[in-house]
Amino acid sequence: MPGERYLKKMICLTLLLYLISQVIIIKEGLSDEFVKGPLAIRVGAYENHPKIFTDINGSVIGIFPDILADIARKEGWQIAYVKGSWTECLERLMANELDMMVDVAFSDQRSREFDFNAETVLVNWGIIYTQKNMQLDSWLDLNDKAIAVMKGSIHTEGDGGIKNLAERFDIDCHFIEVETYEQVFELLSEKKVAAGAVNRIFGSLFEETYDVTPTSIIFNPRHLKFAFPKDSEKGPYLIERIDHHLKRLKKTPESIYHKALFVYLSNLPREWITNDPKGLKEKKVPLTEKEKEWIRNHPVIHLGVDPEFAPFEFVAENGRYQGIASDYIAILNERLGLNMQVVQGLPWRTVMEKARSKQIDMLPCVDITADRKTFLNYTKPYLAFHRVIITRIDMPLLSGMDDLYGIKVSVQQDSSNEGYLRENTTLNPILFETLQKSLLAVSDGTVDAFVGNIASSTYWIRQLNLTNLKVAAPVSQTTQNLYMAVRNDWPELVSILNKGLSSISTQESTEIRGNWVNVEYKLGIAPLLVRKYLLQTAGVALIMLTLIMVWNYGLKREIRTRREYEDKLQQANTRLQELDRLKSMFIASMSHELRTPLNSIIGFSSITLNEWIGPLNDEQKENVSTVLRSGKHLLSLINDVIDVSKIEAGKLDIFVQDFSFSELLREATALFSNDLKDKKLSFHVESLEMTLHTDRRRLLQAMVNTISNAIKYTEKGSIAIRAGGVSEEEMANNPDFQFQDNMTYIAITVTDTGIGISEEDMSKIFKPFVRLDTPLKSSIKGTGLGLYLTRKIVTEILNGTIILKSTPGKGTHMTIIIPETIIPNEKVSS
Amino acid sequence: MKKILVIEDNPDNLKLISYALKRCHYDVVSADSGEIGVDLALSDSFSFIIMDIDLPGIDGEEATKRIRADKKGKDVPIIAITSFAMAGDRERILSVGCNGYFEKPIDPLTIMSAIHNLLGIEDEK
Repeated sequence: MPGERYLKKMICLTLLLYLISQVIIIKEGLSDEFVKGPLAIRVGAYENHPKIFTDINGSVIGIFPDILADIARKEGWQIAYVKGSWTECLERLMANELDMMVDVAFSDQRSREFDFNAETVLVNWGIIYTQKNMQLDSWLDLNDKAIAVMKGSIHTEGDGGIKNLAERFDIDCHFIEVETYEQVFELLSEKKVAAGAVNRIFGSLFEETYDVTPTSIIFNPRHLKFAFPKDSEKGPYLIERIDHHLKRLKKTPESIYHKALFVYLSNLPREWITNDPKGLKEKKVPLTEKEKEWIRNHPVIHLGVDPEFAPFEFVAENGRYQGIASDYIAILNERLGLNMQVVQGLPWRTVMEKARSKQIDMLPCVDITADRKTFLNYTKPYLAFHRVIITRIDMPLLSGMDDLYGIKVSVQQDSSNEGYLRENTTLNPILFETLQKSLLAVSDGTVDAFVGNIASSTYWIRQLNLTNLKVAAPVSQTTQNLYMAVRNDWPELVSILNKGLSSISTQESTEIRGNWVNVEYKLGIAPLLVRKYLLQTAGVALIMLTLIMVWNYGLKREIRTRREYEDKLQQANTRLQELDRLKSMFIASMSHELRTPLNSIIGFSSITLNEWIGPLNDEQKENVSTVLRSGKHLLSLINDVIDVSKIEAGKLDIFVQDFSFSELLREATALFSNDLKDKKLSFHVESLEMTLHTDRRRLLQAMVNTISNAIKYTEKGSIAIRAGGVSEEEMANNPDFQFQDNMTYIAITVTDTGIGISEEDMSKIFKPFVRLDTPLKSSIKGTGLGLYLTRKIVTEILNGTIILKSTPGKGTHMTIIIPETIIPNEKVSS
Repeated sequence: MKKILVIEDNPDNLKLISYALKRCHYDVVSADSGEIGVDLALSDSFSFIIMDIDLPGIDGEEATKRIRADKKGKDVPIIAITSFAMAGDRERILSVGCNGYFEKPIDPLTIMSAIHNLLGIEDEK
């Protein structure tokens, strides 16, 4: 957008000039103060074009030296520049070797080291430039961008520097540090970086020289002042005098202060500063005698103004006439010797009525309409603005008027813009009474676009803070013109005004327009932007913080719940371990405590029964033998309990050895020879001669239990033991047992002709402390642990299995299948 | 007459083992604590010592260690008779210097043959 770019450029040139736009013009003159004798002042000089630098003749010049020279001339001071680097100068100032330094950015920290004058000479700030044809609108657009910055610059490092700002806004960009601002612009021109930060003075001076575009991203405003050594002798006096002059210089538009700023910041030849002040602005307008006479005859010219036609003309809150036109009126009054006065307090409608009735002589800022032509004459146009289309930021790109068909377009009623649309398009615009209402309608989505002049539109967009609007496209290359209108019976005034308007240079009009069009940018823009993004950032951060907190809260609760369960689990586990330890301790201690009295019971009944002490009668023998048998039963019970607890704790030691199976079988059967004889049972053994490599003691225990069981439940018939290899059938009948391919298995089957086991008892039989409910129960002794222990031994110690087949009333086959060899560590742990 | 030292605090057990020993014509000297047992063991000479493990004061293991630590006691056979029957008991008791280990309850009819067998003493019976 050429218009927009043009306006932006104006910002830099006119910002400070605005400061004096509302004050009374006072002629600059020599100070009233009289200073006795020349005062020598040592001033630090370093190179920082254009604020202070050395010219080809070796003289120190620049904005600050030129202003200082003016003050020194009035005060009769003798300025002696001491050249050095910036740091050297500061060090000298600190050491009181200098009386003064120019161009020092004020900061709280520096104010502790130096004294500063009160009046700011110049405000400088950082500004982001980007490549031509590239657009960066906000800090957020800097994300992921490479940004060229000058190493050590106040706009790079430090609190307000870009690095700190980027961090505060959480912008993920990377900085390319170079030595000078020129290099920043070079990198941008070569498109090696997306953005570059320079100070605004450098930017405005050199943006034309390089292929760069300024953005609206500005930051870190710095007040540049004069600095003095802390508590120095001359300091207070110098500060007082400099502030005195600065205030006056700043109030005076033609002063050296304004000229220096303008010339240096516009890169104009320095000679312009020292030229006769009158030459620049106060141009004499050649008037004819007739015209001069007319002016004398019309001491007051009544102006009718539109109180709401900002920024062209409007009445400020304090009742003063303001705006671009007001500046023109002020100049024309001065140059033409006119006395144009605003008739106060009239609404625009009344103004027009009074103009019609010639109670008002002149309208300083209007456009031409056919109706107005009937009672007004017009000067040449003195203001021209592009007619533009305004849309919301989120609207798709518009290239011109053709794109407005099909969307809702608003325009201000009775404005020249409405006329333009009616005459040049077939659009059917939605009309609003005022420009403000039209813009608000675009902003809130009632309509999609607005057609108006760029100056008033942007003025009100900013005034109303409609941040979601943008200038989308120019309507055409033609411009909208504004004129001064004079009652049609005063043609003389029209020609006088035309002469006056011709005396106003392009530069002056540019300045005036800049003052008003960009009025809202003055100094406030950086804090405004910063505040805006801070608020946005804070808002986003707040939402995220809330989300995180909510999430965290949930997580915390979850963690707490889990931790509680974990604690409970841990406690339960600890209790279980404690209980297990108690159980083991109980079994160990019980077995120990029971063995001691059993030692006596079994021991004494044994020696008594064997008549070591003396002869017993039959009844005594019978009774003592019952005591002995009960003692032995109790002992076997205890032994079984200990074995079970050992196996369950995985603590039963396995002693693997080579032994003959038939020998083991003989040892086992020998124990039962009396029982078999008593019951008159026939006994058959059929065994292959086998050498086994397993735990002999445990196999014996299993065999003894099995045979003992068979005998217990068999009242008549036979007991048969058959031992040998495992048959195919036995393998097939045991799908649950995993036979290892590389192992040889043996099967030992004990068959009895006893009472048998019913189907439903089959599952109970290997459970601990289960004794089958049989008619024999009362007469049969047992711990109820025998088969339980046997199965544990066979499956867990000997790595085998037990198969039980039984027919109630006919008998039982109990088969123990074990591998011939136990390979250590192959024990299946329970 | 061959003398046997029985270190046993339980009078019933002492009486029972004494029956078995006397039946084999041994002279029985008894001590009801480890300390006294160690003193007796080192002040006289015995064919062997019957050692209970669960004793008041120093236990049978400690007593065995002390007897073995003295040169007078380093060769005397010590037979432990104990009701400690849990895993590891047997190994631990043998490791401190006992020659044999019998679990209670003992069978008075067979205990002496077992001891003699262990120590390579011919049964007199």
